[in-house]
Amino acid sequence: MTKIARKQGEHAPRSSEAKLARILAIAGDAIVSMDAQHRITLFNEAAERMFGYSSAEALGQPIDILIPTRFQAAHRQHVELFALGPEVARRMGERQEVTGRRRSGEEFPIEASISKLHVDGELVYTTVLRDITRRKKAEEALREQLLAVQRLQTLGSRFVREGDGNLKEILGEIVEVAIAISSADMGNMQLLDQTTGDLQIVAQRGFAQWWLDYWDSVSRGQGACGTALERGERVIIEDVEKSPIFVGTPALGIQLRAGVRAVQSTPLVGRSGHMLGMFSTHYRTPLRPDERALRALDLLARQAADLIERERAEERRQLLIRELDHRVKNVLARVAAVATHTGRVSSTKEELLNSLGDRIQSLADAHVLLSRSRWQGVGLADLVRHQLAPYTNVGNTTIDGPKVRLTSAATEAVVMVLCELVTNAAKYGALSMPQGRVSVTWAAGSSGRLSEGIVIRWQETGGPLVTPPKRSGYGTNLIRRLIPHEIDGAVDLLFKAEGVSCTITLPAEQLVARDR
Amino acid sequence: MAAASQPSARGLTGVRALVVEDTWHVGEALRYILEDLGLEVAGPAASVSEAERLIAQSPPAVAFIDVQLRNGELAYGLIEALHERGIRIIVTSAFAVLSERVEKIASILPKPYTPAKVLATLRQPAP
Repeated sequence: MTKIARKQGEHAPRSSEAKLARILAIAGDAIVSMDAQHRITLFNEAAERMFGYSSAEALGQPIDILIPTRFQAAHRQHVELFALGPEVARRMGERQEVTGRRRSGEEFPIEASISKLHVDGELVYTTVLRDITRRKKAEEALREQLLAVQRLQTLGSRFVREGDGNLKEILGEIVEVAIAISSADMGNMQLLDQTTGDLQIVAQRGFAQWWLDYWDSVSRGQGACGTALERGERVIIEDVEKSPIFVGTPALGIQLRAGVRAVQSTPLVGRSGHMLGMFSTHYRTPLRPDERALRALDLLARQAADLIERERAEERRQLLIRELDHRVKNVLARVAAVATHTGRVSSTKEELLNSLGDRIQSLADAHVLLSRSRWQGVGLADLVRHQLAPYTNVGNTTIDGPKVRLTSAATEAVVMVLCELVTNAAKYGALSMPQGRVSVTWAAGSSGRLSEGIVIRWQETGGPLVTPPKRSGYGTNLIRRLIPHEIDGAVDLLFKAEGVSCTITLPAEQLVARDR
Repeated sequence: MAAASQPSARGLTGVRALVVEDTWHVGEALRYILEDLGLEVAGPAASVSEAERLIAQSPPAVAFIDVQLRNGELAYGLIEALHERGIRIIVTSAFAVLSERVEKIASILPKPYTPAKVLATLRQPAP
């Protein structure tokens, strides 16, 4: 109940006084009057709520009880200047914010307007006060958010400028921004290990080493981040002490020891929808981050996911370049070695050039087939057809077998072996006569399943009578040894009188899975 | 051609060498080059286990080792093990960059190489 202190002997009309008291009581703003001696003469209900004094306690007290000690002298001066000045009132917003003091001693920001009035020859000041704590907080949050967005933008452009190599550092800074933007106390970012399926911390702010050691590698379903990984969506733990994810697990003690009471974990999802990692913020008090904070975290998660994907694409590109470099040198080393071999066994220059040309051509063929398959594995039927093509006419060759694709290593090896078999057949075997036939067939390994590898059969018929070579030449050495050496397969080459036969067994590891 | 009779190949006759190389042609060519220089060659081996089998049969004085072997197997462990046994190591690789450790304990013979380069590398003092 608002009371108005009166001077003794004053007689105002009772009805208007009651009306004023009712108005003051329902006013949303605090209304406080004081006399020329700065004693409180009016203290409405909003003022009671704002300062924590009842009007009975406040009335007659110096105004200084509502002002922090360090501002009291300045306040007195301001009021005296106002008393002397020509203005009769100053509205809210026309002057700077002031600081009030509650009964509890807590200080808070106030927006105030003041008026002066001469009543019975004495000066009376009336102030209307508004507690702007919430508005100030909102302004501050907005300012922080703006700063965070600016930092984020700087980060993004820095990444573009500096390129790869500093991803961890930038992710750490994103964590920092997330902490600022969502009023968190700690935070971290984890990447999903593609082979183990676990989350591993790559960046963090605010955690002790023992906490990091405990959470170093997190499996599905473990903690807030592991649960978010399992569910594929954000998990918010408002209070770790009440969450079934933590209660009854050693993780609860770890969180409490680190001062973590609330957590949110947001998945980092790539543009194609696959999980890249997790982004978590931690809070010292039980709470649920508000919608604004969650939206900001979504935005940051998007940024982080984009940066991670960019880095990974760059890594893949570098890897590809290194592989290509390695491959080119290996091919050149093989060509140099083929030339050495061919040179050793050729008796004339013409023979050397022809054989060398054929062998280099077979390496080029393997490359063409692989490149055409985009390095995803070459179909065996294509490969055989390609090698036999120069000698194929209507009905002299049979190519048959289940659909299988070979790895690049197996493609190269089988092409080189077929090149020797074809060359030999064309010179001395079935392909040297019109009625000669060559059949190349293959089937799944011993148990009839491709998981056992495959067996390829080269069979010549209808050619000239075969006499086994007196000594093993370069070509027969290559046929017999290259596949066992390079791809751990087996080869059985037989010079039967009715025609050359060759059985090649390729291990399952040299077949490319069908679903790729 | 009889490289073994050239003065630069002197002292290499009968030296035991191991070739570890998964590209058959390259391994065979290196074997011929070394045999021409008078060395006694085991291999080529295409995997670490094959190499270990050959070493058990007859320990080499020098080993030519490619870093990446059959099915992508890496030879770093083998290189360390042979280094510990005091065997001279010459790493033959198509990789542009090798680890610091490898460069510390092995001579490097980048691919592709010629017989002259093989001989020059053998003549270098061990690192």
